[in-house]
Amino acid sequence: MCGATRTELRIHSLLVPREVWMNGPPQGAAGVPPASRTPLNITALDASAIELRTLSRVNLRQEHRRYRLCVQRMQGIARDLERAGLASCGATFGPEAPSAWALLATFGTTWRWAARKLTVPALDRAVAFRCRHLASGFCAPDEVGATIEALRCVVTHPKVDGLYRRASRDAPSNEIALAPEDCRQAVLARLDLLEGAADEGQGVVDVFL
Amino acid sequence: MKGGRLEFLVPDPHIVYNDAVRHSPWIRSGRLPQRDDWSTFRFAVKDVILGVATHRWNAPARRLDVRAWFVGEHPAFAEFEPTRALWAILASQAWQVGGRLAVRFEKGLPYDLRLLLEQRCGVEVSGHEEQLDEKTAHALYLACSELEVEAIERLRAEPEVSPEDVVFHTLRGTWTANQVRSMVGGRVPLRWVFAKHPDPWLETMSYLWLLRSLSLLLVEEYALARLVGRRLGVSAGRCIKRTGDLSRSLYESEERLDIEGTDLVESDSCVAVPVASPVELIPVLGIGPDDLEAELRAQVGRLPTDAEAILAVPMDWLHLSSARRTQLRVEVRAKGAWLLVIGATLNQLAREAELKLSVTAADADESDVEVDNVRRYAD
Repeated sequence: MCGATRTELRIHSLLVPREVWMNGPPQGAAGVPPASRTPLNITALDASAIELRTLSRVNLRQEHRRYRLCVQRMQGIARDLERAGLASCGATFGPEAPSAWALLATFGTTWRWAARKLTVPALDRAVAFRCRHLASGFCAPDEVGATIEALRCVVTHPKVDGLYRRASRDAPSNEIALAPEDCRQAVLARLDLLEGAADEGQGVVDVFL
Repeated sequence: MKGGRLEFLVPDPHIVYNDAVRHSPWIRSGRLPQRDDWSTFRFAVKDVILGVATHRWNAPARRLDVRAWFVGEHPAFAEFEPTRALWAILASQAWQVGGRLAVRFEKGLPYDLRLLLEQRCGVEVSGHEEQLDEKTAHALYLACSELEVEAIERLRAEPEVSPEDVVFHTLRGTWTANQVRSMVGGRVPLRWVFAKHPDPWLETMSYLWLLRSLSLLLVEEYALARLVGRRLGVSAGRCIKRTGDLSRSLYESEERLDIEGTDLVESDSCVAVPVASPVELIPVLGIGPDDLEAELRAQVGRLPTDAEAILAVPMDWLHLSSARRTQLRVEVRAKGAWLLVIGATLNQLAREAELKLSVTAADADESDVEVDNVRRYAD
């Protein structure tokens, strides 16, 4: 076992049922520590409030620290819910396809790409805005539908190959080789996951393994 | 050599110490130093002065002018160590202010600096020269860092990362050379640390992963510091050296590593590694105490077989109940591994990583900067 393997990127997408997301684990549910009984909905709303506050461009460093704590808190709760059997693993993105690096690189690029390519009709603006949240690491049950719409708009766009090409060049290191096809597969895998979550009325939280 | 002690050697007798000391204009005039004033500083370790230099930033020429350079060798330090230190300080100053390694010596290149250059880079330069050419200055700056040639070559191969910038940040103390070695070993994308980190809003997952990876490096560094065991007022602790491939955190100590948690804060740490045994430091992080427990169990299940393993955990460990801590400690010892608790919590680690990132990854919050001041004092 070497250090490089220990810290390689692996993302686990956990599916949380709407009831648990909105109200927390049911009374008497065993195995959930008291600190993780907070409904995910509350932290997700906190994150949205922080994001709204940032529009004023004041105290950004503090705000993004708060946002980071919010998302980490959601990850902690989701992992505890998974251990207690109240959340399930929907997909795992690792070194092999669909690659975790491809997923991060593509979603990190999508918003900028969408802001440039999808700006004319009002519907496109909404899609571009939704793309802003693709890499946020969580998706509330109420937002899954809109996120699916946004992703469908992206994957069916005639110039989507440009997005995949750009994302493949956005690998953070020259030791991580990404191909446009990796990025396409990662986006499609994510779309599959979200469609499954929408059918079951679940929310999604991404955690690192 | 007199009486078994080395003589105090002044390599450049033509440099006048008094001139250096008296060249600070604010000593007599009672005004504060201004941007382009000559300023004299001394480089000392405890009560031993190893170097004195008078320098100023020459804005029109975008270089650092050095008027006086005085270096004293001392038997407590390796040969040319004070010269290396003084060059590193001046060159770093030039790099920080002007973004280039332009240092001009008014009285010609000092003799000891030329000897250092010859020793480290194999380049001979005349003492009549006043400034090293760009290529030689860069080579000397990199050679004066603690990073090995292999690490520097891998830094060169990274797009958007300047090895000089990385060396500057290690000399400045933002990241240690050991942490850079781990980054180079493939654990953290260097571009994110030394050029531009992911946007915390638009690339939250990438940003969180970066913070997590950097926190792991910090845990390792804190664990190493605890193993070295350097006490206040004592010059050196145990000598622990990194060995093997950069992708692993393998170390060897010239002394026995013995830590038994007996202080009032924590009594769970337990390390007893014989001399010269290879040791792998394995940092363990979780999102909270329960997650930490699960992570620790996962690590215990995949320990290295070719080295002693020390599992380093953050102080959040203490939030686990006493019974669970005892149970985990027993499990770790049953597998032949050791446990080490470091003195920082997960949140402290993340904040430290963020702070360091804000220094090295060009992360200026626009509300932090007074734009008017930037315009008024452009350099």
